[in-house]
Amino acid sequence: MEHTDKSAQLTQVCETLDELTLKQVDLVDEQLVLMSKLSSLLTGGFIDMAKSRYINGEKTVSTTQIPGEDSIIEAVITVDRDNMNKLAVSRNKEVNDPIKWFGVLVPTSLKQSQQAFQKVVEIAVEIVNIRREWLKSLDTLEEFKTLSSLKISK
Amino acid sequence: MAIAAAKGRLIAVIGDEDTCVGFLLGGIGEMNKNRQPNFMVVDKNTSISEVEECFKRFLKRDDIDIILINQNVAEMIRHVIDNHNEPIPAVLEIPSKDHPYDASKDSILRRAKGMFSAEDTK
Repeated sequence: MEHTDKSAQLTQVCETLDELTLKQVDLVDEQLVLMSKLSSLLTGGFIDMAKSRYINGEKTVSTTQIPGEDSIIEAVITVDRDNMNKLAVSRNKEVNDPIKWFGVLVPTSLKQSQQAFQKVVEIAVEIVNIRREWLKSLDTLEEFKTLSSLKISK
Repeated sequence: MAIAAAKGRLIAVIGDEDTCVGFLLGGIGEMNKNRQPNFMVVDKNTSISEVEECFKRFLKRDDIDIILINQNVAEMIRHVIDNHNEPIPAVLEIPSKDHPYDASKDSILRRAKGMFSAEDTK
């Protein structure tokens, strides 16, 4: 009787370990897929920046356009954090659009570049949230492994 | 640190010129008289200690929840990033124009590497 009890326990432990491991692998996969998406968007953003420079000139899209040390800039995009440390993007429409720093008549490519970077921010926040979940599940997996190895050795 | 809800937290950027200009164009930049800016442009003349100091400053600030950093810049201060274990601020390594993303270098993803060994399959 004791023998079947033990083996039933062992099976359950192995099943739970499998579930936790699969969940963990899924979460890593999600992160990698999102990072790949982020990379493509970034590349697009950089290409559009280059296009703008080609149209308007090298210096028109560079740090020289950024307001200097004495100016005041307010962030358009910020994040809100809830009690579980989950982040959400928040936009402040009242603030000056940074595209204005780059001239009065900006090429479409610059607007497209801006949109790309905004999307990149949204994906970055998604990745951060999945990571937090993943790290928690890693901890759970680790705890469970320790617990289960104690059970198996008995 | 206590887990508490917070609103209007900033996203910081440490990266090359194009990366910083891009994200600033996107609208994450903040600068006011009391605080340092939430971004730092790293070029070939920037020293490792400057990057390290900036990163540590961003970590200490209570108004920054995410730090975006080019992965090649992160490599310069790998030891500092590896030691950062708090969930907030979250550090996210991103590719730059010239350096694609390499998951095997990512500090956070590397934590999983040690988790699974041949021992586990016994």
